[in-house]
Amino acid sequence: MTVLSDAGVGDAFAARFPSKSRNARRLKDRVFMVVCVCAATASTLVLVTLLTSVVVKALGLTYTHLPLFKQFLVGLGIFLLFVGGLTTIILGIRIAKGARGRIVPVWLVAAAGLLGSALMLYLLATSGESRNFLTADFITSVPSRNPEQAGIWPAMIGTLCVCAICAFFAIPIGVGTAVLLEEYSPKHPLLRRAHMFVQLNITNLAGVPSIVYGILGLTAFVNLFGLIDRSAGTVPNFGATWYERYQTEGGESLLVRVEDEKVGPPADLSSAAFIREADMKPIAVTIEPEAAFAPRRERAAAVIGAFADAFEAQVDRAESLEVDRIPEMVAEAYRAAPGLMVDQQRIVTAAVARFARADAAVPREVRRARRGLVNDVEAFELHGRFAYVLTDAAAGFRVDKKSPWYIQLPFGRSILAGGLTLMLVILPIIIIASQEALRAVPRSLRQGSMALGSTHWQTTRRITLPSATPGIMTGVILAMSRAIGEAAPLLIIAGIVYITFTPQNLMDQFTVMPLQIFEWARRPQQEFFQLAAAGIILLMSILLCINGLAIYIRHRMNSYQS
Amino acid sequence: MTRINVEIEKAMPERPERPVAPPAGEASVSPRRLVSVDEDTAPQEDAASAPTAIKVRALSSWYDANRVLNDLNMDIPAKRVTALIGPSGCGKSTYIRWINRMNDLVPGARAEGTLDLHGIDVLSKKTDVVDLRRRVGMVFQKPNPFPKSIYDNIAYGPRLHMRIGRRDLDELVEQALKGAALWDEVKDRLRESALGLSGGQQQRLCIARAIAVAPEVLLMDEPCSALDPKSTAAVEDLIHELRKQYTIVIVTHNMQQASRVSDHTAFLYQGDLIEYGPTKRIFMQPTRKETEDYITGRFG
Repeated sequence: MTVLSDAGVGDAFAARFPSKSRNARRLKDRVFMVVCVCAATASTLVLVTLLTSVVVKALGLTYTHLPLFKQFLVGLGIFLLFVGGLTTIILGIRIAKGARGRIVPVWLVAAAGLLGSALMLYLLATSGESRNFLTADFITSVPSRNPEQAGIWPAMIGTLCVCAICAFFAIPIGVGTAVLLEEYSPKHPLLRRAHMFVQLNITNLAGVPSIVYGILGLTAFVNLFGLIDRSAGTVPNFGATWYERYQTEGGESLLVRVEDEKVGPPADLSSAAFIREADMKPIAVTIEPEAAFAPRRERAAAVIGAFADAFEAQVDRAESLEVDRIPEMVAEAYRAAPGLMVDQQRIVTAAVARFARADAAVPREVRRARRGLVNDVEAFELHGRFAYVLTDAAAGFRVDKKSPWYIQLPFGRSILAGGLTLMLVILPIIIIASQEALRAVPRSLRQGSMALGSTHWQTTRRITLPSATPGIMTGVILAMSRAIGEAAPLLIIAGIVYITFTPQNLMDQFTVMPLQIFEWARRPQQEFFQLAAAGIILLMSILLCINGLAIYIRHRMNSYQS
Repeated sequence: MTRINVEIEKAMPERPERPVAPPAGEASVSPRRLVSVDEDTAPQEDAASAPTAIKVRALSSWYDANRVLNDLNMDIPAKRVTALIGPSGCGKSTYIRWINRMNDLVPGARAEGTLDLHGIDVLSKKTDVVDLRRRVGMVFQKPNPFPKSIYDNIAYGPRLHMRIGRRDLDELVEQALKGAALWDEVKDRLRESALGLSGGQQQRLCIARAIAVAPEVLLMDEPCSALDPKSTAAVEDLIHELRKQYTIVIVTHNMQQASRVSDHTAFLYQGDLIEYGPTKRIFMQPTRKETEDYITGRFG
């Protein structure tokens, strides 16, 4: 009864105000909806157009020269490919999870993808002169001055390595910080101030332009605040093994392990453990007593020269010169002057000279025969037995073999410094996202866990963190996407360098895909611009793959949440 | 107002008469006696014959400067159901949250007095709260299963406290679920998410989770307030069963529920213990005016 009378009072109260026009409200809704749809369409169109132009560049098509209907087809094809691909990934995950009910029919998506690829193929086949840079060779080759041969392999591996290092450090530190800030807020007033100060700083750091982090990384990681004096020659390093390098008369490189860069070679080599440099395996070497001490450079040069003379004489005496016979002649020369060093260079030079005198074209094999020559000599004459071990001066034959975790201080412009700098860039993002995720875990879960007699840490480790994982993963995905595309801070750390090798250890120089793309895009030639476009496509594909993987992992972890 | 009385009068005659429990404030009047009554006949047996499980003396509590409990004295009998009733904000929840020190998690909460649980000084700083909370389980107002599988929810507590083999753990989980009358409903989907259960099942899961660590006392903070009548009935039946093994302290806003499930009832009002005694006496012949006003619905 009372309820009814309350309503009556409410009506009387409401009657004192004019009601809003229903039509006006409806109109507002319509206008709002139209604006939203327009905005969504415009943003989609802009994105698709941008993507289209990049793909067209990568495939070597000149967009503007295409007939209008083909331009349309390009756009449509790419749009279908893009949408079809994305939806397939999402649907794939849903189906893998065993989702009930289909959101979009799978065949429709597959058809869209197929139609898109068919359109692109048609265009490629009919567009006449064009050079497609997005090939397998492009992925597996190293950069080159010649755009036809240039590839992105070192940059791609560099990107993956830098991001792996970045994630390795950023995720534990970021999540740990978030746990500390969110779960272990201090009680002491002074500590609370400190806590608030840290919190405020992290929030602000998220908005700092990334190039600033580049300068920070340059100071902190590349130079280590200038704490280490590099003028002394060597810097502190860990993880490298130092060797003294010796040459046998067979031309083989042998290594003897030494303590470090500055320690001299072992005085008596007869008991040294030799390692063959080619395969880094131990090898048994017999050293004749009188040769146990390394001769000086002059003596080495003399014996080498003597052998080469003998070989040249041998070559001159030969009636015909065939590539096959060279090892034999080397062996003969060796027999003529036993105990002398084989100088491969002079052997080859002599052989080349002989070919020239005979007016014969120098076979490629001779030029490339160094390794083969030496091996044959070894097989013929010196199997497992070395008369002399020569060293060329005390210094300069010191080599180091670095393990993948080789570290030196300061880090220099290395892949580790790059990864750590990127870590600085994404830490605030990860921390803030993780904090939000932890805050969203219901208090009742923590209480339920505590009431069962778990400690604070057990609750955090087994209940709070697992419950927050989806949110944390979302933050990590966003952060890693940013790290992959980040060029500015790495430009400061690594610079634009011409790198044709993949990083072998943490201290190697590196380049990343955005830098490589930047380097290509600033060149005047059209071909390099196409290379840059191909690089962009590849970068985006990698991004898509990594994000897809992360989303998949997130869904796997998420399976008990609902 | 009359409606409630009628219902209670209808319900009460089914139970035999019980002697009156000690009134609040009288220290240790209930001497420890051996329980000689057959456990199966528990609801009918003598309520006063139970030994004391928790001795509360001069318990006062504050949130910062705000006093919420005044000098509570109470003997909570072992293996009985003790209901705490009272209007919102009277300190019922605060009270039971001191029994397992959950109030430690509330900034600014402090307590004075003693709370003695089988010789453990609960409120002492030296008391190991982890061990205490293993001995004193708690079920909350809203079902709060962990976002894990049903199995892992039950196994969570045992894994915290003991080194236990896989097979033993399986058995323990089964025992706990059977103890909470949930086994038949979930035995085929132990590996599925606990969040897929209905509200009532979730609450029974939480009870199973609590009894899996073999507590002595079970605290229930309005365990049925978020449940529908059918689930409520299931949980109440469960409380009847659990009463044979555990000392149960239940906070409830629902006076019919208190009269249905509890042996003793305490009425709290504004932080004071107004009246404490066998449930039937509290509901049929309250000695204090406030109690009568509250249970007849004049306020609260």
